[in-house]
Amino acid sequence: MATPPTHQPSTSTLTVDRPEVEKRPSSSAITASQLDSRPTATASSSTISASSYSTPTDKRREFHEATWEFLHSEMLQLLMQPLTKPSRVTVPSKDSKKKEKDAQPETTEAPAASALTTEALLATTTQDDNKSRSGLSKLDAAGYSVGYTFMERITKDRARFVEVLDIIKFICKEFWMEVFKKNIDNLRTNRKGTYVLSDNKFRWLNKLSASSSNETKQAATKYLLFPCGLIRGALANLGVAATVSGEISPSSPSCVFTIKVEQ
Amino acid sequence: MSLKDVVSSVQGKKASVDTYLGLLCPTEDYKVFGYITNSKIKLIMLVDDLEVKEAEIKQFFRVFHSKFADAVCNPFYVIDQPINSKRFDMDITNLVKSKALLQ
Repeated sequence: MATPPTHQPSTSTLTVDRPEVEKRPSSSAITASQLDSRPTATASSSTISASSYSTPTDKRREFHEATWEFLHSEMLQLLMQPLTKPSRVTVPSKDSKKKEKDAQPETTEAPAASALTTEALLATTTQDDNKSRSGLSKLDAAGYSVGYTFMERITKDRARFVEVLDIIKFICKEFWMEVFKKNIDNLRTNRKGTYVLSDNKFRWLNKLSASSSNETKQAATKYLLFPCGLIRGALANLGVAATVSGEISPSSPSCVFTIKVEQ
Repeated sequence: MSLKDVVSSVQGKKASVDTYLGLLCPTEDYKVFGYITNSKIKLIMLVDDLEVKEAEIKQFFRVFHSKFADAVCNPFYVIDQPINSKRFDMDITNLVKSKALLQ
């Protein structure tokens, strides 16, 4: 009997004992909805997936459905927490950091530097908000490990990659399709190791809105931490060291990920 | 025979894009087969049956890779550390035993 994994918001639970889940895909769908404490969120996400996803019922697809729904509901839960807290007035020394943060995109770099980069983002949170502070840095780490292990799984039956561009294209198409059920809409490169991936309708930002556009931007940048870690982990699995940064475009819900490959 | 043999068969002008590397180093008593994954993980197999079919070896590596992917996807597994999963050990032992019984 497959037992549901222990509920830990900060770690990825994308991977359950795979053979067991494959045999009983319906039970994993049930466990996903049981663990989610907000049934309305699951119901809406399942209707979205049902309408936009018309492939024949396949065991593998059912497994993906369940894990996709679970992952997305997990993300919503984890990220909702800091948003519901009322924003307090920050002390003058932090205001300058706040303005800096609006201008700069938040970045997720190599593990040694990730503490520094999330500092810019954390400057917008209040001093007492230790829970969201550790949560944000955990998001990046979680994205990294999920990207790493997921890449291991989906490149299993594929021929080996020849060039970095092939790897980036793979991320834009197959990888993004598996995680977000859509492709990256635009890929640009300067041929010197910088790649710009644009997603015009990023799923996680679709329903997001706040009272002002600045607030929306601030809140939305938190949602980009996980995908940045995802891309970084995926690249690391294939032996590509890179820095990934995420930006919200003025026309929400689109966002841009910039990958800088270290030569 | 060292991992250099594996690496040289992956790099260089004659490098193939396939994951299966084939026979690596001929010795008198054993045959050594190699397989490399996209994440640069090298799987090496030693066989003492000299008349083993290549299709079987490829099949073995495919199953081995999928068990390996399952073991790595464990959320408690730390990346690049040795795998300490009992399930993985059991799966691979059973796999080897099932292949051994066939001959």
